[in-house]
Amino acid sequence: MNIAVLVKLAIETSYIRLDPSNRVLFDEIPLRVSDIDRNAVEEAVKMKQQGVAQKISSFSLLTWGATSKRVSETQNLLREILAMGVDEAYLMADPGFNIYSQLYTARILARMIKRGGDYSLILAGEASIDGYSSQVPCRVAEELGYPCVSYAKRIEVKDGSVVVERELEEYSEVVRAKLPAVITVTREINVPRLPTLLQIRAAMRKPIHMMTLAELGLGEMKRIHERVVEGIRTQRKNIIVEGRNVDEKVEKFLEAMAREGIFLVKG
Amino acid sequence: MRILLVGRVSEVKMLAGFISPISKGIETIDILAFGNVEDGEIQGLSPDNVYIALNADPWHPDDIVESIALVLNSYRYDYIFLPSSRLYKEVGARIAQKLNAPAITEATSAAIENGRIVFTRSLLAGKAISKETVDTPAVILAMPGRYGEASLGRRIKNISRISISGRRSIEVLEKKAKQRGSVRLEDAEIIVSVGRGFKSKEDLSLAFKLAELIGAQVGCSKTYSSRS
Repeated sequence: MNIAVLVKLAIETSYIRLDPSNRVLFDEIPLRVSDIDRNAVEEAVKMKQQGVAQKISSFSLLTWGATSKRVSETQNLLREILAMGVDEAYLMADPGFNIYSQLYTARILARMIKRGGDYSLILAGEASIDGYSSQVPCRVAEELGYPCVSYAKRIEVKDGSVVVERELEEYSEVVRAKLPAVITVTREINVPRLPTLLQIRAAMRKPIHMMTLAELGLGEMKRIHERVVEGIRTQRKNIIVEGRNVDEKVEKFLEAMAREGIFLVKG
Repeated sequence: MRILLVGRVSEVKMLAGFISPISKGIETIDILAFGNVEDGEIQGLSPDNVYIALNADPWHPDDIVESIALVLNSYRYDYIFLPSSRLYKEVGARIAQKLNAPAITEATSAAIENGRIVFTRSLLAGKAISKETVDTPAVILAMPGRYGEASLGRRIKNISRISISGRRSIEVLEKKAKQRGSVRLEDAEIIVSVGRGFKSKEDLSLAFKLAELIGAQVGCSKTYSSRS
């Protein structure tokens, strides 16, 4: 069995930059591998180590502008997951794809997966750290005609099926779906590994296959979703509460909160 | 313009509250309801048309997707509104892709600006606000618990009961309801919010002690809630 992992190169939300009118300067913000996609990679690598999977391929799409700087940044980020144990990476970086669209993102990823080979299991994080819309994996499943099971916190592959324990707001459940299937994972499914120096060096020799829209047989895409993004400026008060013991710290903390008008201490 | 609100009756009431700032200009507002639907509740909602999915499991994504697809076979809706829960995010993605449609998740408000409906949502881990417009048809997932329940104030023209095939790609082997607290964070005056820094139960008890002292409720980050 081969596994495909969807890996988003997301906006690093810790480094948001704004212009004086609070417009978000997306081009100046670094990217990072979306946190929960690392959990998906980890799960795939564990399956390979257990002998359940033979090959792991990652599939990514550069959605934040395919400039040469971004392409190089993205390739470096993909080396991180190659070092974790992914065998090869596929990256679609095409200046022609410059619109925000979950519809087309899913369609492109589905085409990439078909082009990449024969995959029984497609894993992804439940959401990306920047958009948190949780839309793309199930859209990919729909494109491929596969079942989609979201929010997995345990996955077991057996007898051509996948058994998933998943967590929704009001209940948890164990479900079974036939392979091939798309599964999204939560953070709690595992702790992503930190690669060793040897693994990082080995990752430099693993292939990153570049793809374009034309190669995937996709043409121009209509803009169907517009958004205007405005950053929120926050300023920390930098108040440090000090005290000789916990009781004194708590008391001073409550006094500080009351001074700020956040709340009044009861009694 | 024609719109469809989808969910259990309690969720549809919430969606009615969400669309109330824009509902005046909408020609037709229909609902598709799941679960035990009582006539009185439907009358109270007062949509134009009602679809009740008789044999659909309101918790099974395949059943919900099939029910929505069945209704969409009869009419073209400009917007399909769903609650922005985990279950419906999955459903919304599948429906939107079937329709070649955009989707907005976690929408916090809807307003009409320059003749277009503008939806607002949080972005970049809460560090930005995104105002979004979409071509129709579109799927909109509204954040639950933010709006009061509203009546749509129309006269019901038709109540249809629909029946689905029940073909499923996912088989449920076991299901456990979660224990639900009686706390409504929406009503709390102060919230003590905890995140992944709280490693142990002892850490968490500190937050509850603080909350008790200042008359607050304890809330937590999305990451923390999915861990516990």
